[in-house]
Amino acid sequence: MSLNLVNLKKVFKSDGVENTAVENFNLDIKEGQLVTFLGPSGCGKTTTLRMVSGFEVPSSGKILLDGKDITNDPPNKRDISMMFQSYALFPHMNVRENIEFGLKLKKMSKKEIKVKADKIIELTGLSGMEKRNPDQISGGQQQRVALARSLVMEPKVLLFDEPLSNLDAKLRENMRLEIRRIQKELNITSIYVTHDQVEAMSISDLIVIMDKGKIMQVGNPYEIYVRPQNKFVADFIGNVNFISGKVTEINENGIKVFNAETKKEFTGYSNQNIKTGDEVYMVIRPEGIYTEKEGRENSLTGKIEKYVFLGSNIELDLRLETGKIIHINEYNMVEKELPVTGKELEVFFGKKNNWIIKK
Amino acid sequence: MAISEEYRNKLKKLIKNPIIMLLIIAIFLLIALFIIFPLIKVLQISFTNDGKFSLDVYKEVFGNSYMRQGFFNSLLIAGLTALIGTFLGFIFAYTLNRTDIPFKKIFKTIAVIPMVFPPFIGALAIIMLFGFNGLITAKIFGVRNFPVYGLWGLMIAQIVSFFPVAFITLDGVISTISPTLEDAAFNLKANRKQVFFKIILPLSVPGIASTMLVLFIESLADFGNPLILAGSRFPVLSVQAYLQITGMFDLKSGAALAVWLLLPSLIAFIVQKYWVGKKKYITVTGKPNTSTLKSVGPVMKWVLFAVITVISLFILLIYLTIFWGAFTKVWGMNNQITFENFKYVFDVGAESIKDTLLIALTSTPISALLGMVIAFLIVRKTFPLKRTMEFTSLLNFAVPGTVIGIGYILAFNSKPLMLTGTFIILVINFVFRYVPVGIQSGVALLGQIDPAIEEAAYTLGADDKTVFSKITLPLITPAFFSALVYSFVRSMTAISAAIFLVSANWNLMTVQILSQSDSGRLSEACAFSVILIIIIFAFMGILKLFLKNKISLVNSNQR
Repeated sequence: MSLNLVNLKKVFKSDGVENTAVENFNLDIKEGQLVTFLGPSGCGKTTTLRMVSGFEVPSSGKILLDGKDITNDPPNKRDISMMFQSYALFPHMNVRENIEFGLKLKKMSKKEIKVKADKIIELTGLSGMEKRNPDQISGGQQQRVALARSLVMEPKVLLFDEPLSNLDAKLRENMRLEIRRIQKELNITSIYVTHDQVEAMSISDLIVIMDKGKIMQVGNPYEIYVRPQNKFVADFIGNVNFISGKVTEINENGIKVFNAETKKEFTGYSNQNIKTGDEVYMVIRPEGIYTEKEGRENSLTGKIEKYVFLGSNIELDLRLETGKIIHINEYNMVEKELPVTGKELEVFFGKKNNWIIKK
Repeated sequence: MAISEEYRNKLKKLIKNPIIMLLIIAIFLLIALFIIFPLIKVLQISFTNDGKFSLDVYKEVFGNSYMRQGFFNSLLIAGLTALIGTFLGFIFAYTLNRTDIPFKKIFKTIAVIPMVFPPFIGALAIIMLFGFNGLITAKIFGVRNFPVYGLWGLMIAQIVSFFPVAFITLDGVISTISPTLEDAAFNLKANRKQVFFKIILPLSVPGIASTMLVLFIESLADFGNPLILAGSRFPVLSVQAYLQITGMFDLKSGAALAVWLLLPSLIAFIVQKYWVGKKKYITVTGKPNTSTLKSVGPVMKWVLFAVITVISLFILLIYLTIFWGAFTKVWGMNNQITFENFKYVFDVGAESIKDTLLIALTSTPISALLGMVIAFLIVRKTFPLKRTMEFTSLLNFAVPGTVIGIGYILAFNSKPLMLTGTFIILVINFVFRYVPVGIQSGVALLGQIDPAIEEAAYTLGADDKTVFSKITLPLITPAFFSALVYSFVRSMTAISAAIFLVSANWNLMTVQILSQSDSGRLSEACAFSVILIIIIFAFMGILKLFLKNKISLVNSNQR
């Protein structure tokens, strides 16, 4: 049950002004994968999801489900279920009626409907709630009903449109683990739209980072975080320091980059096709910068601008002589002393925390 | 290229789901046939002479000073009714929303009473109270020549008839102005007067303007009140057009007068919908606030209380007079209590009672359902000419009944649509005249319902028909029933268009009431009215009983 999105494009027109919401969108999703669309609001992730669900008609491109073109099928003729941000429970039906709604439309026998609904109610932990109306249960339970209602259809593809954004932080964490558990258990191919990077990192097989209607990078959470392919992705996921420079030398030890402001040379690595003389960014994560040298190739010197003590870690800003601020995240504060603001400090990072991307 | 591919995709999708497409086409056809076509007929006949374009009819009509007078009178009375009605409605609504006076519920009920009565009952009662044999003028003060026929009598009758419209609109406006705004203004050291004139009044301006325009349209279109009260001394367009056609059999002049009646109404409607409607301030944010009741001083509070008490007592007086009149032998002459009037009504009018009820019960559910379907299409679907559908389906808000009536007799008196004099023409007329209210309440309610609920049903495999009947319709039940009640009441009390369409076979109670009062049988007219009112209340009562659980269920689940 694979899903292929081929060259999808969507242009919205309002008052004669054209606005490209999605373009050049190509993606192949394999059976059982959970793919997240992640990006800032307005990046086109929801529009893409709505094209897959059939609520938006693509301006061009194709959607293939198991190789069959479903681009022009209406939503109710697609084997695709969707879970909505607002849950979209039917307020005039109780929990069981909500869950059984789609099964009844399939004209299944009453017995079959009951068996399937009972199983899913059990799986989503809704036993005992069947007779209640949506306004008589909590937000988390409404969430489960919405999930159960989609799952019970046994769709080929399940779509999630920011399903957890209305829940509080604690509940969100539990629910996303549960969604992942059930998704894996039933092996349902899924697309999950979110703007929350932690959510995306924690549940995805594959993350699609989008910006301004275009795919910026596709990869698993590790690749996205450790090997971002452009400045947008590096900046969007996690915290990051960028130092620009020019490639001076490439050898088996890595890529040497010279930064003109600090007049220093740094060593890093990359999987991009980088040549000597290229203008590049060095992507340096704050948690990979240390106050101890311990064989790390690169160093920076500056004054401690400010710090925030957060218990398990400390967030420290270092102002270089050039005026640039470098963010540092130090862990294990129990064994260390607090820094002193204004004091000079030398910090170190290895070439493994110096990911180089083209400008 | 890309756009054309998208367009092709959309067409393909429509063809795969043809119900909606067929429905849209059917509704456009119905609108064209029963709303637009009659209007075109009116325009056509008024602008032709011997089959050619000509302004002769207009020259003739405007050469006649009596008819010119009618045009100015209509505008004058509509303007006055709009101004004074809005002013009184504002005081009423403001007092109920911003003071802690007692008996608020009773006041509120009284303010909407005129809505369930035929619109010309006010005129009847005013003659009974202030006319030649009037209870107040003749019996109490001994005045026999009080100028009740003409501008002032008519204006009072119209203000009473349309008071609920003003009150309900302004009540909606004032109740949504958050009291925290007043608190904020007080906190910034404004005094009471400043808070009223600088905060509440400016925020109400769009609502006030909109109320005035609606009253203006209603007053222009009013037919029953001027027919009873204005007489020949104070000609107005709606009555003149009617008399031209039924008295002089001059369809052309009648149509020309109708066009002149239509123009100011349409202008007011367009201004209201596209200009004032867009200027509304939205001050509702999140949860409603409780009123702090500080912007009205203690003295002012009781002054306002006195004013709205007077208004309420006057409204009560008007409608109690009708009940009293129904049980008196000859109003003003012989005030003996009697039931004879009712016997008379059943002898003379049993047929018309049956007809009225049958027509109203047929047209009402069709109208309400059609309203919901159109609202659904307008809010939830995209299709070409959507705005056109919205505008034309709401057009009958603005088109005076007289114009519609004339249009219908012009449009449907020849084959293949030979409908004049039939049951069907009355039903169709009522369906399309009262569908705008259903559309509006449907649109308003649907706007508050998350479209994702319907989308969820689609992803679960429901087609358009299932989504509408299983999801949309249950969710907009309140709008459906308010449309049902409204169009039933209006169908029962309709007069201005219907009077052109009744026949020997199909007659209406309102027409009977009018002809009874025309021939001076006021008590009989009252008895007729009382029966009419009893039917309306019975309908609402049955609906309420029957739907008690259902309605409360839907309301409690609304998010």
